[in-house]
Amino acid sequence: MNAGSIEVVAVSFDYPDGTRALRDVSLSIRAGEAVALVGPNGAGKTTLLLLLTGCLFPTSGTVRVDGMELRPDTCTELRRRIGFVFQDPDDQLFMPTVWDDVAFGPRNLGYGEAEVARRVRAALDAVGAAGLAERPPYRLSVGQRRAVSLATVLAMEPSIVVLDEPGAGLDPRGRRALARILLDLSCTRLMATHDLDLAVATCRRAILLDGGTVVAEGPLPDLFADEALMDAHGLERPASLRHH
Amino acid sequence: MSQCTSNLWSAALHADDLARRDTWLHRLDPRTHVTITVAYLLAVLSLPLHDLSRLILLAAYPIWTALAGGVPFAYLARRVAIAAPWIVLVAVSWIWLDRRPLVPGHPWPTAGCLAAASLLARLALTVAAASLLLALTGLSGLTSGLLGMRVPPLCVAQLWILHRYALVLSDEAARLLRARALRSAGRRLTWRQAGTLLGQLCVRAFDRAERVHRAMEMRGFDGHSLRAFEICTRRLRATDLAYASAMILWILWARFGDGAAGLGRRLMQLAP
Repeated sequence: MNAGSIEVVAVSFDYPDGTRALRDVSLSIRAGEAVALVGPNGAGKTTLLLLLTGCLFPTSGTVRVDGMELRPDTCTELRRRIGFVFQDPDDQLFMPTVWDDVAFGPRNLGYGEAEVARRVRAALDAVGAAGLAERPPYRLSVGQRRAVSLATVLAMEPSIVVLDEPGAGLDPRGRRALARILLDLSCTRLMATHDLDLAVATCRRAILLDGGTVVAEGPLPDLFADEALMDAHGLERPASLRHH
Repeated sequence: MSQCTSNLWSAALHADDLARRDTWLHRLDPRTHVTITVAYLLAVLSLPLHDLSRLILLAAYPIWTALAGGVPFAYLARRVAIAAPWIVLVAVSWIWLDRRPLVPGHPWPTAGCLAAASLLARLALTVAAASLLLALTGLSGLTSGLLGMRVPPLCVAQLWILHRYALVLSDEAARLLRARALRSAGRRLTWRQAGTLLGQLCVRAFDRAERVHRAMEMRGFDGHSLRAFEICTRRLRATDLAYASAMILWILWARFGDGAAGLGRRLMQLAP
């Protein structure tokens, strides 16, 4: 199995209050793929991402990352391979400086200072934030914080990056910059988003989730071109595909 | 409350900004500042309750450090004001409880007044010293210094998480109060509303802290080791040792010597 694959088999998840967030979800993502996870509010997108990253565990079914089953005893190992970029960068950034924040993960992985410095520089370069290293995260703009959030994950050199609404709060320029960064990543990417134009710009395949189940999946322009399907699940054909 | 929350937030942020200044005091090793601050706090807190004169002498340390480190007195005053309400309550109760006259035949001032003044002075000096430590080292400097002094990582983690949680809590409080203020049409906060807001604050802060904790866990934080923090292991320089020795000797003299009495005599000579 190549590094960077995800397999979800018949996964269901109930919250403690009894709300069923996911029902019998099955999907497969190959190594190196860029996949958009779309759906209306409350579809279960964030719950699925939390399950993939071991923040939650399925009520039934199996999640495999790189062929390894996600269980409480394996989640520490799997978190080395899968990086999660949170929806709100303020949840992700908690250290006094950008450098310390990006170094947080590699240091926890036990690398020496030279390797930590190499990873931090590479991650900050990858997101175009090399000049922000000494700045405190709370002094950055939303776009800069978003880029640094991504760098905190890239510094761990994961084989999979999972992003929750990465385009939220970004202006068009910030969104274009983010799209360029995402396109340059060679690892597997799974992105939950309402921003279908960002999905079109950065992903090849889409999975449509609604009511906690996978409703449709397929090549991205084809799926988003189906206006009846999009309409039935509270979505709109993205502006970038309207001229097709 | 709103003002208090925003003060707490801005004061906390301000400390990290101040720590990035480049004065000769900022360039000293964090362990030097930690050692001096601990010695100073012990000296202040170990004084007898009614010994106000030595406290006045010990006030020279935060004044000198603030001037040399370029730390604004307004920053220190704001920090003291945030911590003040609890200590003021205790101090006021001393005035109420201990009404023995200090000078026979005169009902005022009482021993309680002296104790209250001493408590307030201790509050100001200890909070100012702790705030100066943070303003000179920053949180990351402080944690690296403490770890370099072999303070157990669990204690340092607790300090760091407490600092982080205070920021989360004050941030959520500021959001709640702002949202209320925008729809309150200028009406005052009622007790009932305050109770609801407090409940909301607890739930929101808990949720937010959980998300932050998840983000930390996702990047390998296990709560036991502090590998993510730099540990200060370099040898202390001669300037660090000289400054720490000089300050500790001065603190010992101010605490145990006759400096306070000398100061009193000098003031009496100056008096007409």
